[in-house]
Amino acid sequence: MLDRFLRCIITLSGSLLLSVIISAQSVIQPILEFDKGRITQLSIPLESLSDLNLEQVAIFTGVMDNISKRQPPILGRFKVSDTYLSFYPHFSLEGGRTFTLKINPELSYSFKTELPVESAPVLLDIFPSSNQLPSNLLKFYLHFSVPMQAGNSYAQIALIDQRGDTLDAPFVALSPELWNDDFTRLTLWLDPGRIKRDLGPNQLLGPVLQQRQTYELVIKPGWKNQQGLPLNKKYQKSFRVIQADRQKVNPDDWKLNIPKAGTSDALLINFLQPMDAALLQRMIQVLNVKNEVIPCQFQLGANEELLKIIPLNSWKSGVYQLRIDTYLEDICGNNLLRPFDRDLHKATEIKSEEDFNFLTWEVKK
Amino acid sequence: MQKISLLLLLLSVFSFQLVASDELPGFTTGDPGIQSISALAFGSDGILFVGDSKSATIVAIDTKDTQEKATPDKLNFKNVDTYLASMLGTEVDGMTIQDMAINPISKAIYFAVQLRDASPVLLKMQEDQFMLVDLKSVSHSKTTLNQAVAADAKDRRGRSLRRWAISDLSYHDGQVLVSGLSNEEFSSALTKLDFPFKKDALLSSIEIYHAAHGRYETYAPIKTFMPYELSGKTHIVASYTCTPLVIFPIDQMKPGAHLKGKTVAELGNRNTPLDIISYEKDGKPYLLMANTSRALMKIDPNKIEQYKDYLTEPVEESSATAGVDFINLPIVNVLQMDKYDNENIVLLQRNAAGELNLYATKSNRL
Repeated sequence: MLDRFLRCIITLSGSLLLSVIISAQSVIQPILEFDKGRITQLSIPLESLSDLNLEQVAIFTGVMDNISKRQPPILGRFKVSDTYLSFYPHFSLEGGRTFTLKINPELSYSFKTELPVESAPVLLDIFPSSNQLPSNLLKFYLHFSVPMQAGNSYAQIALIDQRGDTLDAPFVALSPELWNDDFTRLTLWLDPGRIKRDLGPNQLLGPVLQQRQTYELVIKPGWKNQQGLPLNKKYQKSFRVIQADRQKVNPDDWKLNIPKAGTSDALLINFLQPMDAALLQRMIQVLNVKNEVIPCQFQLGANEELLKIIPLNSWKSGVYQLRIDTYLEDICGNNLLRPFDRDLHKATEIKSEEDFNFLTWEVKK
Repeated sequence: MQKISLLLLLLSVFSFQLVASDELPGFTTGDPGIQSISALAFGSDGILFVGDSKSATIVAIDTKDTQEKATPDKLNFKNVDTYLASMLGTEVDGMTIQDMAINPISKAIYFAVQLRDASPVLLKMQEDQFMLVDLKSVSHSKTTLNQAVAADAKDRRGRSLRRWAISDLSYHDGQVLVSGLSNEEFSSALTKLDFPFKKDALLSSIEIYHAAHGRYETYAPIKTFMPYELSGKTHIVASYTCTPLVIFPIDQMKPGAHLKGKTVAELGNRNTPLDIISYEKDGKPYLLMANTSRALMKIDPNKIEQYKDYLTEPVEESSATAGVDFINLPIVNVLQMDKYDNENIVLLQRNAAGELNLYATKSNRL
């Protein structure tokens, strides 16, 4: 009998969705209340529940036929008013799932909740953006349009070589995964054990990326956002692998295009190599002659080799400094203090562990 | 029809509330504002430490779960993930088990779960029953890691604060040790916090390096670690994201220090360490390490003590390892483990059929 339920879903405007459940015997209409795309309340008109036993009412995930005796009910609380039986799940529920309301030992209703009215998540950017990447590349950053589900990300990402073979474990599967605060950016580390010279994995297998080969980074469409909506499509990034970069970052090599006084033109820095997209946003500051930080906007340029620094107020004549955090990395994990892996037999001693390097420049009329 | 007006009913009451009766000094009952649970560890007297990466906070929860249990429950719970998903109103793909810790007094097993929308969940399991720990009302004390990092002299001078994903947490002798991975720079920090947490705690946050075969030196992000007595001195036994087993004395952890760990073993490739614990078999101590893609590894700490050289010779054979010997046990796909009591270890393991099972195994069989 329960198998013969017929369901149709009527969508109302705003955050309410009305699920209409029709059985051979009765019709119940759970009203779903959504918050941030997830169900926080589910209300059923009491008149449609003929034999409600408040001692035994419970909601389960799945359809009735598949619910075993061992399956626990969903954590939450029921509230009864004059007209409705309402369920408040302890943790908000997802749209697009099937649930079963059991109102007494004999009578249950299964229903499917509608997905929230939201567009599918989009992968906005993959950094580094260049299609030529060094064999000791350390990181990728994936930027999404909305907060994504964390915890199973590595299964959604593949690195495929030019023969079409999927590489075995190219990324370190970390727990917790390395997300930003709002779960819109994931940091992926290529296996550092294979990048670090002389470590066992590097000795045995070499780096993940082989020079002169091409690869494709694939982001699978099954990856869901925090409301359970999957990515709008499969994403691919193809790139060719070039020589490893094992030099520390040297600001003295950078080319500066200096704006004129009285303008708000950008100070343009050409690093002559791709830099870490995330660190560029917070590791360079402009100081005035009094060593005060000048408020500026930072815009990444082509392949993250360029950084545009746009002042909120126009430049004044005089001396300015760039204050560069010595932990600023290029895309291979080399920073201003040391290359990613330092050959102790050859390298000169690191003289100091200073926090910042400074580049001085002058704005003229 | 049964007619009941404006009657509030609390049903499905699996909820387990920690009620304040006698508050510990510095503790308060209420909502500690936990935004994520990356790591769990028990201290003494039923104190559960929760590592919250999102708010960069370590919360000490007084579970009041201190009724001693000499013999732990027989444990064999099948399909833990399916069960928990049902209870939390989702499906197996809608949640992740982040960590597991066993209360050494009551032998209750605590699980940190993260839902698809990143909501943190803390569950307690005893006698085959899962109960929700209400995180909105617990006796707690907390400290922020940002303060810890800011208190470090290096970060006081204008360097932008870094965000650390807490990769492991441990309590040892009045101190909470926290390892964190940066989500931007390739670096990690190991932070030592005094417990009970102090307002102006003496904190240290150090960076760690290691050298492969004594030659190439790099930063070394710690994935999992444990404090352990070696040669009469407490050491951190750590496993890095690139697998080698590294040790350094805990007394070298000083604010702003740059520590170089001593690499004592390379434990193979294509592998990420998950958990490390110690146990005894026939009165002899061992370390046990769980890994993403290799078997459980058993290591004799005496061999670590006797190991005098840094790894100096390159590894030659495929999947070979170097340094201190270890024994691969025929147990794979262990996702979480902890010591149940002196004779039993609890494993959360995915079997060949894909089922995630929780069971206890005798230490002397390992």
